[in-house]
Amino acid sequence: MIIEIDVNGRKIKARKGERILDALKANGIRVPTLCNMDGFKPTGSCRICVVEVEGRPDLVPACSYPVEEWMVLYTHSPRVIQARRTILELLLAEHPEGCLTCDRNRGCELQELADELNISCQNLSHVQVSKRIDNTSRALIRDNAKCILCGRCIRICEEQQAVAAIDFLHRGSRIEVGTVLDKGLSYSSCVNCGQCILVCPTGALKERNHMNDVVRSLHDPELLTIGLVDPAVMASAGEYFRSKGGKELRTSLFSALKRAGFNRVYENHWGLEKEATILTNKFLQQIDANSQKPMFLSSCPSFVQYVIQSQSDLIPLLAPVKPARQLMPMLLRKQISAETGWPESRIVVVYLTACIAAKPEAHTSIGPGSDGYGPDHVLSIREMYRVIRLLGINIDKLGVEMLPDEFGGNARSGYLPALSGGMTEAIIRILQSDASETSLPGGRPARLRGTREIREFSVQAKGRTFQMASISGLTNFKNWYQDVLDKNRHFDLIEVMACPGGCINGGGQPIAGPHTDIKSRAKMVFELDNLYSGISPSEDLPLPPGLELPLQATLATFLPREIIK
Amino acid sequence: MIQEMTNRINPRELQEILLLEKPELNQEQQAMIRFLRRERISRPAVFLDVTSPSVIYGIDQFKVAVKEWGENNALDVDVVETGSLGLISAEPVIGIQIPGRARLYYGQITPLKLPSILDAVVRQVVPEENLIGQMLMASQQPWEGIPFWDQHPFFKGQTRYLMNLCGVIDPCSASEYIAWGGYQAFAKSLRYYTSQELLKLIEESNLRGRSGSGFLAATKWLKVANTPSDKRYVLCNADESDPGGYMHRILMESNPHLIIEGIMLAAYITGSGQAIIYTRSRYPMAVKRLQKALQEARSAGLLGSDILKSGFSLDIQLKRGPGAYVCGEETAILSSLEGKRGMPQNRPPYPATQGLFDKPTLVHNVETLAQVPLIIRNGPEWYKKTGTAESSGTKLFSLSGRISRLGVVEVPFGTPLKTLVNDFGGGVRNGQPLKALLLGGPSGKFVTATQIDTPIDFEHFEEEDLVMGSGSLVVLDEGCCPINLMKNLMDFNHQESCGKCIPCRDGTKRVLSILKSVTTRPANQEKFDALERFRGITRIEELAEVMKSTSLCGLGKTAANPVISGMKLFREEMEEHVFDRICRAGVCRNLRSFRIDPVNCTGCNICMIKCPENAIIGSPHKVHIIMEDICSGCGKCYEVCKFNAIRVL
Amino acid sequence: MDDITSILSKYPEGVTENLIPVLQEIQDSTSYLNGEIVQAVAAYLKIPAVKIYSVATFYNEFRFNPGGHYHIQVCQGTGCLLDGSEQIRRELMRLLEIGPGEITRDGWFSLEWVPCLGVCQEAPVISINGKIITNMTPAKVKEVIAQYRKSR
Ligand SMILES: Cc1cc2nc3c(=O)[nH]c(=O)nc-3n(C[C@H](O)[C@H](O)[C@H](O)COP(=O)(O)O)c2cc1C
Ligand code: SF4
Ligand code: SF4
Ligand code: SF4
Ligand code: SF4
Ligand code: SF4
Ligand code: SF4
Ligand code: SF4
Ligand code: SF4
Ligand code: FES
Ligand code: FES
Ligand code: FES
Repeated sequence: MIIEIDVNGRKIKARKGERILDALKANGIRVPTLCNMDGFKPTGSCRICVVEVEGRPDLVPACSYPVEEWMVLYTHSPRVIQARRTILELLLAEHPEGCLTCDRNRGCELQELADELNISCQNLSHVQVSKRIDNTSRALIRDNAKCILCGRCIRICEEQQAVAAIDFLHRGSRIEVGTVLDKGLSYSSCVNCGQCILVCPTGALKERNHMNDVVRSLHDPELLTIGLVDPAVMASAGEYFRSKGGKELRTSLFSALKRAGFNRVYENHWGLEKEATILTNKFLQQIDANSQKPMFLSSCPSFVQYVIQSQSDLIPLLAPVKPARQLMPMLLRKQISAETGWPESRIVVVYLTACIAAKPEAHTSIGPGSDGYGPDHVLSIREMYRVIRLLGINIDKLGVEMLPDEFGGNARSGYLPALSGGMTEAIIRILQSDASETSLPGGRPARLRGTREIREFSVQAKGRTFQMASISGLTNFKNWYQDVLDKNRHFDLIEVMACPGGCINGGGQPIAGPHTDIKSRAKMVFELDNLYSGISPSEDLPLPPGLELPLQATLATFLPREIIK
Repeated sequence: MIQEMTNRINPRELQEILLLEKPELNQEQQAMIRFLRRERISRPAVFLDVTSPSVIYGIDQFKVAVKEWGENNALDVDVVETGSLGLISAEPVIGIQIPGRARLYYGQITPLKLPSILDAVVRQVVPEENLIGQMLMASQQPWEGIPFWDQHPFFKGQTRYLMNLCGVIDPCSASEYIAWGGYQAFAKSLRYYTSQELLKLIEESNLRGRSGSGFLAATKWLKVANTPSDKRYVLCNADESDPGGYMHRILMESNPHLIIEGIMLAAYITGSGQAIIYTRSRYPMAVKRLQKALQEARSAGLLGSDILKSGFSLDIQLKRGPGAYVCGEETAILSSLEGKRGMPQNRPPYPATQGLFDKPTLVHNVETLAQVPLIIRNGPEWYKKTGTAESSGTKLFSLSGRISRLGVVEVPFGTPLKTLVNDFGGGVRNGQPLKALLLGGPSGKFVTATQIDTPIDFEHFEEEDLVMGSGSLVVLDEGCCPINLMKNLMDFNHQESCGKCIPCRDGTKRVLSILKSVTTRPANQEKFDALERFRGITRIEELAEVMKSTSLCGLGKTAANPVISGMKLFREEMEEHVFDRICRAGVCRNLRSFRIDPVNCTGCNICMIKCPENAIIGSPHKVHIIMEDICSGCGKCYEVCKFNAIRVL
Repeated sequence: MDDITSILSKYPEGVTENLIPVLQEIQDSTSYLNGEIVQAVAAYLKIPAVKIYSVATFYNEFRFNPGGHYHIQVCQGTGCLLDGSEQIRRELMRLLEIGPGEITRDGWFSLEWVPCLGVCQEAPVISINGKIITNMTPAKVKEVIAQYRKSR
């Protein structure tokens, strides 16, 4: 029912029962929020969104109070502004005065709010509170001193990711966010997806920083520093720089990395294509063996971790294939060492990615030189941007200087795995490479595309029909899979990405507030994919020259996560 | 004959009797009822008030003492455990009854005194020492010249509707409760009335919530009854955690069946098949008694399915609240019952439409529910005769603080506050003048001596801007420092805040730190505390206003009440604390400072050794000096100086 | 662990609303909670372990340490407040060098603030392992603590 309510002396239209906040937003009135997350049930805990309702003695929270016909609202009356300011002052009085050295400096909702509410001096004396920093995790760090207890991370972790690694502990002013028995994230059920970082309004959550190691390595003439760029980087790096089309951004980003001192920079395309090929082979083997069980893709480390701790019955169903981010660094070390004679022990591979979970994974392989597999350091997109800035490179002024270095062979589907459903699509392309069998118009399974988080489709290839599904977001997966079990539905191939939407929404992506525009990132990926999908990859993706390894044999034999545990 | 009857007292049988509209009792049944009411006993009986306060005063020893006395005198004595009359300051309270004579109540007696009293009473002599009074009993001859207990100043003028059986009956026994007319309202309701009809009665009765807000009960009942749902709940809020409030505990320990009957009626009227009593783990005796009473009601067929063949089914569960003051807030109880942190939730939706497990839930206070049987039994017209036009019925108060008689009193609405303090409470302890009252506990407001004529009812309280709260009344005399009390209440709110919303979590903390800086003398006055004191005081009202208007639940909204009302009423003392740095009551010990009188000081050194802050310097046999900025005001030096050389400033 | 399993088996599996009664019953028998219990309850009631810890730390009743040999409760009711329970609390914290909810290093004493103990007339009041001691003064605190220390 559409009704009219009076806001600040103007009539606006609203739906009866909707949240005041939504009605205001639809009418272009901004009310600040801290604990609110669109799409989640409001908790009404921060009270910064309060508005005045005529006739009520108290102020009501816009984020959780429903609109009713009789309402006369004031959203920015002196009383409201005073209340918001006082609330914020109370927060700031105990907040570390450390903006200058904070990861979120200039990108912090609390800071912005202080600015918006024009807090010009601290009327309440500042108190320094010492609170514990949880740095047990190799993926992320929690600094409770900066935490404003909005609870957003908790809700994301539980409601979106079905992990519930963290929650409020204790009560009253002793309240804090923490893990079971206060032991720290690495002893909790955290799967390192980093989704909590994306929603945190402050600098209380951040990824474990590998920047300094990387910069040191870039400056060290003794070391050969190799960059390996994940396709998800390309989806969003443009958000940091003056917007450019995907193609230009690609080249200028690579130029920037080279200028920053990376001796070589590779895209991860070939590795991902290779991963897709091996997965396809595995899949077909399994089909031939007439297995009734589905195969789960194991490309997402957070999903694998989730399976290991919460759904261990699925472990045998995970595709026993090494992901590209683990495979490529090894191949690169071998190849470059073979090419240049540079000892492998002094080749440093830096993986640039949207994935926070790649950080602990990297630590589990062995450092430079040994025959370790993984990268030596992992940079999130945020860190990558900082390195580029730190080293004084103005990406917007860079022309098309350098292209990525070549490795392997042609890769056709290298961009797709940035998206949820992308790896599946890459596999379908391989399955359907006999053009005659293409069942979908344009050779593209249309339902695969888009940002929907649960997609099911059947694919015709090799003379039969495969049931496939691609799911992103762990709660989505949990509920969906329960339904699959309950209804006894059959699937051949299931891809799960922990982050909703896939790596374009990974924990290392730029923080664009709580409402990240995933759609435009997806569009960027499709745009890039269009540019390269015309390329036909060599049938069996031969190994690059000079690399003689019993690769196929080793690759297939181990689970990516056995080493992580 | 009576002994035989004891074995034959069968709740089922009684149930039959009570079910009849105008029970025509045969002789045997009448005798049974009289026996249960102890209007007919065959041997001396001693009634021990066994409630949590009396246990602390050692009531258990009396069981042994009575038994010993019986053995020594070769007499069979019945020992009956009852609840409390409400007069806590007279604990341990004991009732003595010999066949044919009215029961006598004694207070503040010791196991040593007991035998002599018993000796006298069996000889038909009534010692007057420690006597509270005799109880008027049907067919029992009253003692001549002995005052009745309801003439005792603590009881005289009370209207004891809820409390009338407290301290009189065995609290857990369903049979006794029934014999006194209990459960009749429920049984009749099931038999003869539809819930609509009964709902009308509640509406007409003008029943208002007793937890403080005075919210009209019928509004909630209608909401619960009329919200379509497959399930409804009645929730009895028995999580009394106000420091200073203990009326629910006394009622739960002394007459649990009354509360249970109220819940039953509420459930029947609102169409709820499940009810929950949420009480506190910290009230083990109340838990035990409620549990036992529920058990008895169950075996009397008053709980379960198809109760009294009416087709109505009800189950009442008892849950122990694991200790959090905020879990008295209605939505927080719901969270707690759902197995979550007891954090309050946004309203709307209100529990009446979307409560426990999202089903309509009627949440009421213990006291509100205990009123229900009265209303149904006697009708709204009768009920409205007590109290004032807009506040009908009675209200329980617990008296504490610097008052002569502590305890739980029940008064009709409209009784002036003065009566509570001066008449029931016997005035301020040791005849001191009254300084103020604190009503409503940690979310309450102060009442000064000038407002003490205010009648207790919702109308006047609103007019005078007072808080009734759930009924805790704390008396302050000149020896109490209101500023210090404000600080302590804020400390309580701060500790008990759930921490969910910023204005309450950080607001209570901040106001507390301001009050702390006002009531303590910081080691170094130049520093933080001094700044906080001046800056803070100027902002305290604004902080309080924001806490009040923006906090999520009642705790935060009212946490600053005592501070705001106290700052208005005790402005002078506040200023003394802030500017002159003295506490006239001498309570804020940290504000005292000490100086050594050089004339008297012999340099004996003892104060220097004893000073916990190392604030005294001096060498042997020379005059010592106190460094005022280090001294914490503990007074140790003052205590130890044998030469009267330490002066208090 | 056996009694925990038997307590758990009294409740239906996977019904989260029973969390608090389950924890209460377990603590009644073990006197305190620990990680093992949290994990067992989590598995049985199908609640994330951190939620259990979160709930348990919210309420005063649940403890994750065994409590001292002597558990000292100090009344924080208004009656006692007016008669100086603050001094008593401070003196206890100073003497034992612990705060409320904590336990001395030797495990001998633990401290807790509790609501009115029901003897307001004799305020301020403390209780040591259930034994009520009335009309406390800071000096008396010292004596009492010394006495209990001696009994070690
Ligand atoms: C912080 C807080 C604590 C409360 N504590 C209690 C309590 O201990 N007992 C109680 O009966 N009501 C308490 N209440 C009031 C309840 O929220 C609720 O209003 C009440 O149970 C309704 O009962 P009534 O309608 O019978 O008054 C408390 C409210 C707040 C905000
Ligand atoms: S979290 Fe925000 S406000 Fe806090 S220090 Fe960092 S940038 Fe500043
Ligand atoms: S904004 Fe102000 S405080 Fe921050 S660095 Fe600049 S001058 Fe300093
Ligand atoms: S990284 Fe993911 S799993 Fe770990 S706490 Fe954050 S949201 Fe939860
Ligand atoms: S860590 Fe961040 S998201 Fe989580 S509660 Fe604290 S401020 Fe909110
Ligand atoms: S979806 Fe992508 S970014 Fe997210 S955890 Fe998985 S691999 Fe990492
Ligand atoms: S007002 Fe206080 S107790 Fe109530 S929800 Fe907010 S923080 Fe919790
Ligand atoms: S105890 Fe008294 S006499 Fe002795 S040094 Fe101190 S002040 Fe002087
Ligand atoms: S009052 Fe206490 S702190 Fe001050 S000087 Fe005397 S003994 Fe020392
Ligand atoms: S955004 Fe509304 S209360 Fe936090
Ligand atoms: S504390 Fe102030 S009058 Fe005492
Ligand atoms: S206030 Fe301490 S015993 Fe009642």
